[in-house]
Amino acid sequence: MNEAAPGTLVAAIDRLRIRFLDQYNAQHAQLIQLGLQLGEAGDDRDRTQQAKHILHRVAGTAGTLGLKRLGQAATRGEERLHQILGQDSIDNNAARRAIVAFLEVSADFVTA
Amino acid sequence: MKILAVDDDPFILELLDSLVSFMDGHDLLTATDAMHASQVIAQTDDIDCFLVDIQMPGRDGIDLCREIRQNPRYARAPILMLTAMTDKDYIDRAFAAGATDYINKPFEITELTEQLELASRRIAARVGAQERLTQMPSGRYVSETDTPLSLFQPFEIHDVDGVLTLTALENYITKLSRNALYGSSVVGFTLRAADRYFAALSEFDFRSLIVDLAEALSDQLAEHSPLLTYVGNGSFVCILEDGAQLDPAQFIDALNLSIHQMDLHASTGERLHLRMCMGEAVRLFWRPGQQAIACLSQAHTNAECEAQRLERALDLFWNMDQRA
Repeated sequence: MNEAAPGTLVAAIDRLRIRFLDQYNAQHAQLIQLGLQLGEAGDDRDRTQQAKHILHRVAGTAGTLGLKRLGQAATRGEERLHQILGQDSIDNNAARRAIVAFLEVSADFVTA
Repeated sequence: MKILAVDDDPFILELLDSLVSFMDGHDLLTATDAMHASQVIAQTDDIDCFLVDIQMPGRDGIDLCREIRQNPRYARAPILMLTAMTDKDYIDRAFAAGATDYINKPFEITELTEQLELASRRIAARVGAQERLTQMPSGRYVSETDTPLSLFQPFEIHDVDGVLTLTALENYITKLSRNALYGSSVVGFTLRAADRYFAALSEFDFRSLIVDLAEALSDQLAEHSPLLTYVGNGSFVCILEDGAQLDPAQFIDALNLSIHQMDLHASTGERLHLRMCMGEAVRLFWRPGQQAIACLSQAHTNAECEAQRLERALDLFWNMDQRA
């Protein structure tokens, strides 16, 4: 790594983290929407899959950008939804609980 | 080193771009999905290393990894999988598809930097040793250098299902969590009297014979989704989910029968009567990192001890026969 790297790289990650948080509201809102739709007409497996995909991405990105608490909550949520998707039929209540548990943490990272 | 990073997450790509720009001597190309990556690969012929996310929309990273390996130019290029997947099945499939190593997301910048530097050093060492791939009569490829092969020297075997490089197998076994290795075992397989075949055959024939044995092992173990590698001295080590469940006598009979049916010959035309044997399985139960590497050595030793025992028993039998 070049000599100027450590400080400048930290600054670059800081800038990325700020941009990630600026755009994070949309993912939080999408998860609320998917949680609300569970149990209504339509494909709950697809909704659970979509929620899992959002959590998967948040888990990888947030943790790498230094938002460890958000990343860990997303990992737990993703694992729970993975278990639910492994069953023959989707347990709506369990899926909703997993999403809500994540949203409790996620709300702290949503900017006004 | 020119690196191609493939990830559907723009933040990760941007982070990698920042990281690589701060490292000396590396360039980064990026692609947002497997199809985009295929286009970049088709337009660029000097990529040295790949960073590939496993879960992407459309074709996943495992499928892309397989495609990269099918390109002879990239048969040996390091492919580091980036994954937030905790499921062992994804990791197993990634290695079986040709991944060299994997990095868990979220990752630490220092970890990724070290991995890239390591990949760069390996490439340089390979170039320094003038290593290259040579095609065998079976169509498979093996690595070789200008220096003569020794019996105990491992070499890479490419394009056989489940056969990895030794480096990849060591990465696999050291990175997987203790939990994930709970039910796995390592089993060693050895060609009996390997030293005699090595002395009698040309280097090319010996390499060819080892590739044929790798194919036979891979086929016989197929239902167990094995990950195996050649470790030198006519021996292979193999990681199995349920290795301890294999019935050694039954399995070795089936393996040796399949080798017999392959009707293998040296290039002189001489028929090769090859016999493999299997060592006692070593359970990986709760043994992480370097302890897991020690299990590979133990499995290798077990197989070679079994080969020596069988050869001694055979000698004893003939000696008794002569005395009678």
